[in-house]
Amino acid sequence: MAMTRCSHGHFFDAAKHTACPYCGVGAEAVEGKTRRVPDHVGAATPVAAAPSPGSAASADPGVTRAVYRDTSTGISPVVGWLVCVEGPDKGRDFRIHGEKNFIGRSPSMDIALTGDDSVSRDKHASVAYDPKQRAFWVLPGEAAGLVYLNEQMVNTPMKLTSRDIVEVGKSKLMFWPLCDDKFHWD
Amino acid sequence: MTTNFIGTDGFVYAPGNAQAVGRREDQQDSFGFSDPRDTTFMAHGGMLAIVADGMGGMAHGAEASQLAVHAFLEHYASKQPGEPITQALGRAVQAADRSVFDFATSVGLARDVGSTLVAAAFTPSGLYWMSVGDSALYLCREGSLTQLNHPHTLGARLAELVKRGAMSPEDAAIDPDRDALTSYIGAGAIAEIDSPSEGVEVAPGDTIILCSDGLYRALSHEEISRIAASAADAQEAADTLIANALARELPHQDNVTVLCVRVTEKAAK
Repeated sequence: MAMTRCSHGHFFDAAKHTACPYCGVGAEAVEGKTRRVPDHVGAATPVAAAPSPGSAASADPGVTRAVYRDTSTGISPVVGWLVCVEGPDKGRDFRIHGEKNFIGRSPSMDIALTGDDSVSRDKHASVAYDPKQRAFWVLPGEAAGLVYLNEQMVNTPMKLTSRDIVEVGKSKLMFWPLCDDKFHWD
Repeated sequence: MTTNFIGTDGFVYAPGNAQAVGRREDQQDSFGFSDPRDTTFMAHGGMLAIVADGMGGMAHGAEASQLAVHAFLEHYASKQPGEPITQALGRAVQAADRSVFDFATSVGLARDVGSTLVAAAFTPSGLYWMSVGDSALYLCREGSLTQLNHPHTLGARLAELVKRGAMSPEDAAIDPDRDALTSYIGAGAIAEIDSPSEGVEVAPGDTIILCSDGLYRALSHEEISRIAASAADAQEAADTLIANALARELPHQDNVTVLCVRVTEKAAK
């Protein structure tokens, strides 16, 4: 099998393909300078190149392409904080970024209260920053657990002001804004 | 005849590559090998093999992975004899990140478009790699498979939490985001990089495999190991691995790319 390298660095069998089957680029001229050595003449099976696309992958369950946004990489600027003042995570601070920030026990949550078993794993509640109004809101989550703002149950979005207490499970979180009328990122 | 890479360490590195779309509509994986004709470069930089798995809608994922591979190959190729391999790999991965980030920004999709990347450099001082994301680098030796790189997924982080007793294995297993990447190329800053500080020794008979996740989600480590070990050469190993992955007929088979490198003694005929 005569293997040829195209200019994109793909190897292919020039006896079977006139151009690279991976990118369509022609073979590089390899005479002279190439140092070739005899290959084990294996009974190579034909390349199972690109099969037909098959069924349209519209739903795409379980694919890995979603990016887990690690808030520690500074990908989006911080707009405020929640500080745990009561509960297993007491003393920890959590960054609030633009738009919706989900609160839950799973480490994939934006605000991950991993130590509080009474917090729902996913989307117990959320805190949102509206950059147009420069306002913060607390919203009820999709899980069964309740969320309280200053001891009041949150059924609909409620506006947050500095030092408000958001309560989920056994955890109490004090809200502290960075962005307001005096400071904002854009 | 094949285009082998002749190492100055007395080894011959025979490359093989294969790729399939799976059940996706387009191919978002890219790959490449360095130029085996450049024997002067081989003497210090060795042979480079790279796989990138793009993400982002439509053609953007494909463009991202192509840019990552191109930038990486180009910048590693500019390595001078005195430059440490780790430094050249570091330069190359930063250039790849910048290239993809610039592209993503230009199409207004900064941080929604990106790529994984795993690159292996077979050098006179051993095997080095540079890995970002969940593409895999395996060493197949005497029938057993070892994953050399550490994947950057939420699942890998959860596994650490489970090991420390901070999370139950059940919670980790059902986390819907366990396959999500914690680091990727194209964000404008790379969150995590996996790269050894010293080269790993390879030996005649070893097969080194670089692949996108489409392979290891279809085949077990045992299957990958068995197929790679029994193949006559690197190209047959790559072809057979792809054929076996597709034979699973997984309803959501992802793009799959496999690069194999078989190490032999220079004198081998």
